[in-house]
Amino acid sequence: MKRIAVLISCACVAVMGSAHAQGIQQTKGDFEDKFRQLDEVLPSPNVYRNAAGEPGHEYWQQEADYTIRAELDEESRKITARETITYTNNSPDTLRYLWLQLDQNIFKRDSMKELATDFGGIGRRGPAVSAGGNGQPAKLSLGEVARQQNMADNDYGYNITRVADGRGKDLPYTIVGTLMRIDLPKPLATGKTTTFSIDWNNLIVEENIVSARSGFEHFPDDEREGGNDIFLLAQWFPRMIAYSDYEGWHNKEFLGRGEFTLEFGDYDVQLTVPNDHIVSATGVLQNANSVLTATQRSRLKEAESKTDAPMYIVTPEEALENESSNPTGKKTWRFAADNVRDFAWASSRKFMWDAQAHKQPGAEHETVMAMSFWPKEGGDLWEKYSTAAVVHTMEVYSRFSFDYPYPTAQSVNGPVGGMEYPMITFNGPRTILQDDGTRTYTMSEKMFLIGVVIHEIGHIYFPMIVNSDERQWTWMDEGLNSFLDLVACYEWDPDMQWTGAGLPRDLTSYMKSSNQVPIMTQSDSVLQLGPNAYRKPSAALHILRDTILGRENFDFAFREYSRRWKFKRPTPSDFFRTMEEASGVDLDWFWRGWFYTTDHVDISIDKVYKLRLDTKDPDIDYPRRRQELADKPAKVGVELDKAEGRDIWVDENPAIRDFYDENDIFTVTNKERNKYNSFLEGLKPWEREAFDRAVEEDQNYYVLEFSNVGGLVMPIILGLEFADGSTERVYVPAEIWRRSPKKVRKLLTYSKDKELVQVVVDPNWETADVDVENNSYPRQIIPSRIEAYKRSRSTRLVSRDIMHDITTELKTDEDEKKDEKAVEAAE
Amino acid sequence: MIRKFFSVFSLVCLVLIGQGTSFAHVQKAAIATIEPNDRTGTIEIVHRFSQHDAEHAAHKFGGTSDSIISSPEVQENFARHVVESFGLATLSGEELKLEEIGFEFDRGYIWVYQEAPMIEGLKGLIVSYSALQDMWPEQINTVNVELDGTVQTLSFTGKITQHKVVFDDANNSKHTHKGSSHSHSH
Repeated sequence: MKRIAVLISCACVAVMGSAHAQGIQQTKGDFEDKFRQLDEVLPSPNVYRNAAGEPGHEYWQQEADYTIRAELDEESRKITARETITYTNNSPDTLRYLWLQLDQNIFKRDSMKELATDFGGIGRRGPAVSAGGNGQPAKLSLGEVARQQNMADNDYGYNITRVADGRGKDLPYTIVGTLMRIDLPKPLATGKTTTFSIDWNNLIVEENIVSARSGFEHFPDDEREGGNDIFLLAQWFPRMIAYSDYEGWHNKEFLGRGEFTLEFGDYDVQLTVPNDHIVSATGVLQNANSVLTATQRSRLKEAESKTDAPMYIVTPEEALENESSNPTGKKTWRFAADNVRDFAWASSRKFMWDAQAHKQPGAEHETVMAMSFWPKEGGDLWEKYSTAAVVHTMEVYSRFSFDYPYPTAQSVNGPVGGMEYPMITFNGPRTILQDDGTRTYTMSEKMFLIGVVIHEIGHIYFPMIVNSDERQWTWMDEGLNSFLDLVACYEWDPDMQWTGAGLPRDLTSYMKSSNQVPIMTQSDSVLQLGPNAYRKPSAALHILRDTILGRENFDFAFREYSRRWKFKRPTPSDFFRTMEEASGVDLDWFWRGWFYTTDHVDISIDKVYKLRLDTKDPDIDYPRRRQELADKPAKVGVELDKAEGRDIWVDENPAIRDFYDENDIFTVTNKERNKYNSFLEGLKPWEREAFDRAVEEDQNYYVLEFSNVGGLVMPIILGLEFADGSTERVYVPAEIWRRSPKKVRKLLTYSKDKELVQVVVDPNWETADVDVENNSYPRQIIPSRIEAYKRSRSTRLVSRDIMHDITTELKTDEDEKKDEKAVEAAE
Repeated sequence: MIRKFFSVFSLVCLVLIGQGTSFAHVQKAAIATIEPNDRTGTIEIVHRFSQHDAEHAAHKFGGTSDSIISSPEVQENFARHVVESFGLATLSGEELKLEEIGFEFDRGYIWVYQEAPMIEGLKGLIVSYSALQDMWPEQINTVNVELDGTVQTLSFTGKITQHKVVFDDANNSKHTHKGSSHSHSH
């Protein structure tokens, strides 16, 4: 019975959904209201999230506190652990069961992700395969073979050995793929807390084989027999699934792409590892006395006041000694972290460790320890830039949001390219070992390291603190973070060619493509996550900040969003509403165009007319008309007659002349003068004043005609050039399109001596206009990339091999002569 | 030189066992445009790859640790891989001879250029593209074909390496009145 009811209500929702999507319709003509308010699209405001985009007066979120004891078995690369979860139900609902996420189960052979993988399909993570077709054989790389063998040989995923309540009594549980439901012995009412524990063990996956965002990496060539490992542990324990006011349980199977959203809570975690390992983890180390040497402890103390540069806590020499010897037992590292939504850690005997204090006077944590952990493979690249980039990120991001609210911020090198967790990030770039034993790195690897550390540390703000739902709306953390990481990158070095930048000009080719989906699309369904969730929203926010709202207004609104949703769970509508409310600017057209449609920006300037005010005075206006006629080109036939020496009647009959030979059609009589005088007399005093002034100023009036080819309404930014060489920038707000979204005209007025000669739309390429050819009036020939390249090829400097060329010896005169002879001989 | 480079590539590709997955900065996405240029009477092909993607790929299949910026050989290898992985043919299957114009670095991207003489009355194209897909299954190569005055976007994944695009006759005649069209991304 109940099931039927559920089915019926689902069907109703679906039908209403489609009816709602249609909404109000324009059924005559083709007018499209690009400025229609979003309130029919956004969810209705309520007591949990209000119409201003703020947490409502009855906002709530659940709390999940964890106590974890885990042991790492290095030999068998296995975790054995017990966690005790204290779950507080702050929702107004009574819960009969709890859902947990078992992300490690994605590595089970029968996981939905494994079974539902489209062979060689789009957006798949992991080693290379190709499905073949079109005359090409299907391909299976050795990487994929190794992955399959690895999956066949190892039982990955959680082995849950016990689930018990606070008194040690077994609790019934059901595993559904990567999810687990625990049935409570009695319903958990509003405001009540329940405690239960889970015992489990699981094998750690090899990151490089299965592409997991975490796992171990093996270093077989290390001096120590059997080599060494770096362990990065994330999504490593059963975690409470979020339960929210807008979605209930967020119980969506983990398919690998969409990341996570979790509950905040306090963590007390004890990690037992070989006694020569160094451990980095979310939170603050509680027992330095039992895991660090006295020297290391005093260095750590000293680092707390070292603000100019990082210093070593574990030196490269100590790390090298660790990695070439064997452990003599085990040690337990204890970490505590308050108000975090997750916990991750890294462990290895290969790690060196540096630290620098970042001071925030007046903040909750006045001293934040910025720290990095890396193996010798990270080399100078890490020593110079990792911790420095951590500090720089906090300086920039805190200005845009709030003081960094945790005591540590860490960057750890391992097999993961880049991934974020509270207070800890995993970053991949490394140096290259050369044949002579030195380690070097390329310029792009340097950019990658600085860029990725900024990006991942930035994620500690979004979404680890401003807790948006990554599994649902990737853009809310990746888009906001890509926007800010670029701000931070340009504040690091504006001359570096930051790769993958989300600036408007980088987005034009993507935005005109015909197969994209709107930014407001669920993560697992987005076709191209990079441009869709990272770079397009980033470009949109750069435009909003630098072009539409202005920095001061944007920054105020953005800080307000960050402040409101710090340690809370915002949805897209909360962001849209807050930015509007706080900036005081109606941005519905902007969200609609950039986030809800696939329109692109292409504004064309089609025509420019010049107008002049008539004086009404026939003695002025008639001669002007006469001059205008005289300025027109002569009639072609008449000119040809002249050229042929054709006889003209009036020339041959000079005797016959009359009044009209002396007076043309522009001759002024008193009739016109009287009319003019009575016009002047008929004007009211204020009209007369305005008229006289206009006549005296005799300004230049220009009407500029634009069309919106791309569909996305945007401000029209004009670069104007005048005959006297002066220039001017004019900003026409997007609202000019509100009644006529396809074609608009703009009147510009300039003094008599200012004559417009050139108009360029979006001269600084700040609006992502995809076609610049229609951006100038009069039209200019803009060379294509290929034409420009052909022209400048001879002067390209970037491809010079300066490192090699610099070894060239200077030729003597003698050498020159020899060369000349050789050339002559060759000719 | 070309052959040698390719045998190295396929070999490395086979022993490659995935690399650290990355959630930022390695884009694994390239974008190319196929546009007419009426001034020069050519079809212009512009490929754009992020410099960092190109460098990682070049290191893998070029068997070198040189920086792509400082090593002309690495650049050449990468550009060659791109042009070799790309092909155009008429709807009847006749391959278009594409001239390699060159490549350059600009704003964190490597741009690779090719062109072909414009063909009167071209009804459509068969486009093949597989750059970097042997290396990264997530690699998506997007191609905007703008030969008939509209944008037709083709998406090449590891699974789909060939697409057919048919031009709209009405639009086809329209573009000849237009100058060449340009992307903003100079």
